[in-house]
Amino acid sequence: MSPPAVGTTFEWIKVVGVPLGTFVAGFLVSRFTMTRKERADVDQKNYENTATLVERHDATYAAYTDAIGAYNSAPAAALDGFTEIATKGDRYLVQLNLTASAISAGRVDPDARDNILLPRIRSAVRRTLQQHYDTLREIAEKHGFHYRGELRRSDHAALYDVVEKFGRGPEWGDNLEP
Amino acid sequence: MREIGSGLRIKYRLSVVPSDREAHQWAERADALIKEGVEPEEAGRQAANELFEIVPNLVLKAEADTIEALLKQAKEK
Repeated sequence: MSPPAVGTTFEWIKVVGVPLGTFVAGFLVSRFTMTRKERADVDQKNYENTATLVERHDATYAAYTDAIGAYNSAPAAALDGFTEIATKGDRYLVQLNLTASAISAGRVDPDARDNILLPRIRSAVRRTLQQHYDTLREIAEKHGFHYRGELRRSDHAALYDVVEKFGRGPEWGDNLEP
Repeated sequence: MREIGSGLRIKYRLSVVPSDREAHQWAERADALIKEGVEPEEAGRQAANELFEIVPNLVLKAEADTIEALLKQAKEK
């Protein structure tokens, strides 16, 4: 004689359903949270990413300022020197955009982001972007070089996004002329 | 290598880049302070304080400042 159907279902839930439910819940929890070790790994990775970004940033910054310096100290305004400023400046700004993308994706160390990366991005958006393109255009007009570059927000969207997300900060006020 | 003037400006947040002569004066003053027994870091800061104008927020903008100054020169060429 078989027991009533309701009893069978109840027994089944007790025997199979509870362990199964616990297993699924456990799986979901582990899937969407990190263990302490995983958290430490992510922190370490973010720190390494930041170090690489800063290193590359510094290299493009050095190349850019060297190019302007070389143009300035050349005996006469030369097209080669002008082109160097344009390309090295682009590299510098592209690298800054890569840094901004990494910030947006949350792949940087938070302290370094606030103290090292964001100030540079804000100052670049506030000042360098416009100055770079304006200067190149003025030089081109003055010496008859061919130059069609201009500041387009879409070329530097990552920079503007980060400034909007994290705020303008002290770099926005100009404290240079007190 | 970066010139000593810009280095000083960035480290101590000076309002302008000191000339080579001013940087030299700073070094002499810092040296004198160290000989009096002041810690080197403190001596450097104290010497900068005595000789130059300091703008507390400046360090954050050092990079954009340098680019701006260089681009300005390029424009005038």
